[in-house]
Amino acid sequence: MSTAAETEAEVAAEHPHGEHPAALAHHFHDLAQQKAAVKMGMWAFLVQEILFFAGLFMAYFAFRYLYPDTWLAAHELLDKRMGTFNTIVLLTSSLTMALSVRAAQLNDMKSVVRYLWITIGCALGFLVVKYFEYAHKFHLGTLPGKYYHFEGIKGGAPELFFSIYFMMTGVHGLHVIIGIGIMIWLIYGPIRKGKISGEYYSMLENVGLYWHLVDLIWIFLFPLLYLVR
Amino acid sequence: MGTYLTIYLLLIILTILTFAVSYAGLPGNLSFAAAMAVALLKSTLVAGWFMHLKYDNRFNLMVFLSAFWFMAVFFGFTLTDLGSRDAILQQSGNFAARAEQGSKYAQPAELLPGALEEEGGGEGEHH
Amino acid sequence: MSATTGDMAETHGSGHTSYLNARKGISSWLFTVDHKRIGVMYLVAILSFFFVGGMFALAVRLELATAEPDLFSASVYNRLFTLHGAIMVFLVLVPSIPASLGNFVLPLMLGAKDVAFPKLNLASFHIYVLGALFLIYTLVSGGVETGWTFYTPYSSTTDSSVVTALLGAFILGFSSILTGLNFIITIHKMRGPGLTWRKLPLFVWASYATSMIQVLATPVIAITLFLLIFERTVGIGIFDPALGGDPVLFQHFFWFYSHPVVYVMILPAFGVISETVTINSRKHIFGYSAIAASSIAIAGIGFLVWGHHMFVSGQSELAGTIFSLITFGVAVPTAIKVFSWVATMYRGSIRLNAVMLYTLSFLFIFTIGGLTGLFLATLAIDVHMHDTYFVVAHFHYVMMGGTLMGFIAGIHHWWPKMTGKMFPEIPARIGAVIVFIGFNLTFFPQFVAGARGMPRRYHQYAPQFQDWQFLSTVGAFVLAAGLFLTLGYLVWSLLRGEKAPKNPWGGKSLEWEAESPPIEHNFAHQVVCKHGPYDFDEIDYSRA
Repeated sequence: MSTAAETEAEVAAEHPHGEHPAALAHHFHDLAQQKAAVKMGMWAFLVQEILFFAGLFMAYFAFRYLYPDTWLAAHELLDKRMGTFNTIVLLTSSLTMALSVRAAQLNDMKSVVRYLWITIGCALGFLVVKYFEYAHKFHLGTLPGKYYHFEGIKGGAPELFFSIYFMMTGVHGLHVIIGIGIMIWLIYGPIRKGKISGEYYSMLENVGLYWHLVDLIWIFLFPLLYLVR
Repeated sequence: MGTYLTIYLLLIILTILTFAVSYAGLPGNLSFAAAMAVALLKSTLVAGWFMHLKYDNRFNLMVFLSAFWFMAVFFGFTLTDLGSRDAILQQSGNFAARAEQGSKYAQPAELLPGALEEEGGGEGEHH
Repeated sequence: MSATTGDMAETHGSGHTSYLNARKGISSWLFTVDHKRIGVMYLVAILSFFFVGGMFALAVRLELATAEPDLFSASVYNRLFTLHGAIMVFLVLVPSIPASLGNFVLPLMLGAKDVAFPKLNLASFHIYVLGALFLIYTLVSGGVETGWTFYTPYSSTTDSSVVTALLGAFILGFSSILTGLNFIITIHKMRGPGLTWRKLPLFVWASYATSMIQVLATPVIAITLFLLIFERTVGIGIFDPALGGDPVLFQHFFWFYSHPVVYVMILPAFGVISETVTINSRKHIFGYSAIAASSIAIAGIGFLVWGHHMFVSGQSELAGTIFSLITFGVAVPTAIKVFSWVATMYRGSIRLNAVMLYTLSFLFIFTIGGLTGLFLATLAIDVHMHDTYFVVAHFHYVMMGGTLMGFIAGIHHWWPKMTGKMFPEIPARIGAVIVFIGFNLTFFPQFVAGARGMPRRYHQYAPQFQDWQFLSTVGAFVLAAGLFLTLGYLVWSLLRGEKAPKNPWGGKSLEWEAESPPIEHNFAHQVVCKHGPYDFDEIDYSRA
């Protein structure tokens, strides 16, 4: 007997025909175990994302402590209104993401996709605003490290402030872009293939958790970078 | 749906609040503390309701919070180091420098002329 | 197909279709989601990189046999020890036990069919290979001479292939994180019926603690290396004093991960020892709860001590004192384990086979390593010992004498389960003895040289250290001989070894209920855990 057939026979023995939910992976006993495991796994992944960003926040706090006046002076060059606007945009995207997951719970796949698109839209809006902010900095010359050439601040270490600004918002922005990519993949991949439904929507939920984390990080980035005083 | 919208509204209000307060000209530390407090509140709202932690298996919350604990350890010890570096400089180094006036320890060490001729093929290569 | 299967079964001697011959062809291995196959692939990769790192070590030892720099220029020598360190730490020690033995054994011990996320497991392996390729590529792109610790500002300004090495280590970090994540969820969610937390083999507790560290600490080295790449390419300046940055900050970032990572390396070895010392003493582990709790304690406290690598870096005295005090603390749970293992042996029925010889080697060597760690934890002593051979000897005693002995013990212990073959006992014992002698001959003289002031990372040193260094080099070749012998008979056993029974050592944990080697789905029927992992029949459990 070939082993592929053996495997199928084993599986059939454990899951009599009809009792096997399509989403259930063979190494799990039941969907409840799988859902709990998949969600816990995502939280563990979020933990490592938090520790990744922690390094950037550490650099921020270290240099804010060492160069407090630089921080005060340099942050004036950031546009608080754009920052606040972006914060509101991301919070909105978090709402629509939560609503998307809620729609999945209600097996309303059309709304799932609709809310996902709105989330993507907000994310793109965030990136557009960021683009304008970055462009302004290129124009001014307030660039990271050795590329800094703005004449308007005397003394201190403004190039360090902008190094940290670009690293923090850059890595955050990268996560936004990745999030957009994953959401688009969700829409055209698993959702289109019918793999997400009211019975099993863990994949969507996990993408939601990721997206909320991206929002959480911005919730701290915003006051630290834009609202030093 | 209602809960989500309420939380959202709270988040927006808190954001506008932080923005407004930043113009109030609070002294540095207070401004920082206020901003962080608001950020913490917003995070709790997002994590508790949008991320469902309030309704979820308690262990997931512990996993999430553990990240912040270790982050706090990283920040705490490193900033302690950065914050106490000056102490070395202010106290001009070590116990020798703080020695009693007049004792030999308070005097800077000085290699007397002719001292080196006594040594053999010095193997005191001390690290 | 069945004819081939039948032939395989005959040569293989297994009589059943195991995970090894269930599916054929290279893609069935490269795209497998079977944790056992992934474990085997990791084992082969790790041992290969151990060989490469070992060759670098022998090159270093050859140079150091004499005080004069006769074989290599300083620049080449610096590349040799850097790559020796980087390969051994990132490609060998960190994944060693968890990725190979852990992957293989953990689901079996839990009575599960696989880990929680088998596809993620495969991804971890491929990410590991990718990261390894980057690191190995530095061998041909000019190498790295910064030391595996990449201290700034040297690493942020030197011309060598630092970015390639950093990218390699960065990628490898993700492999480690994903493996840890997988194990945590597996242990929480995939335990079979009857397997409560208190019935878990201590190897599982050790793997859990290890995985905690992997998930929490590794992202910090990831961001550190990431920032260092931008430091080099964009000159962001945060670690470079010439640009306003703080090089000691780099060290904080670096060691926040790199200290806990040594516990990633040793905790699984502790787990292996808990298994081997009980089985080979036919005795229940002494202090099960203490050992389980101490694993978690070591993982936790291990995050609070990283500054003991930085006593002379320019870190404040206050920080140094705090780190020194807490470092003493982390020795306590470790000592609890050593005492418990020894107490386990007391009045046990000891079987002095190869596995036990490696276990005893571990106990002896690791204890010395751990005790010398206390000297180094003492701030006042470390000021003199830092960057001397004393430190080199210390970490080789704990990492090689600890992790590696544990790894080899584990490989032997689970060899029959993994391969379905018994290794030949006599050559194994001879190998164990040669390795023990070679190891101590290599590294003990380094304690002496270091205590007397010989600095590390020098290829030319003062002549008074030559005798000790020469002894060390001789030891290295003895050690290498022992390791080659070990490799030799293990490979031999694959071809000619005796067929292994299900449970050659009489173990009580669930992996021994699977076939040797196991079928693809691990168990034919769901196993139910009815007794503890160390409830040997010889012991009267009537009170329980």
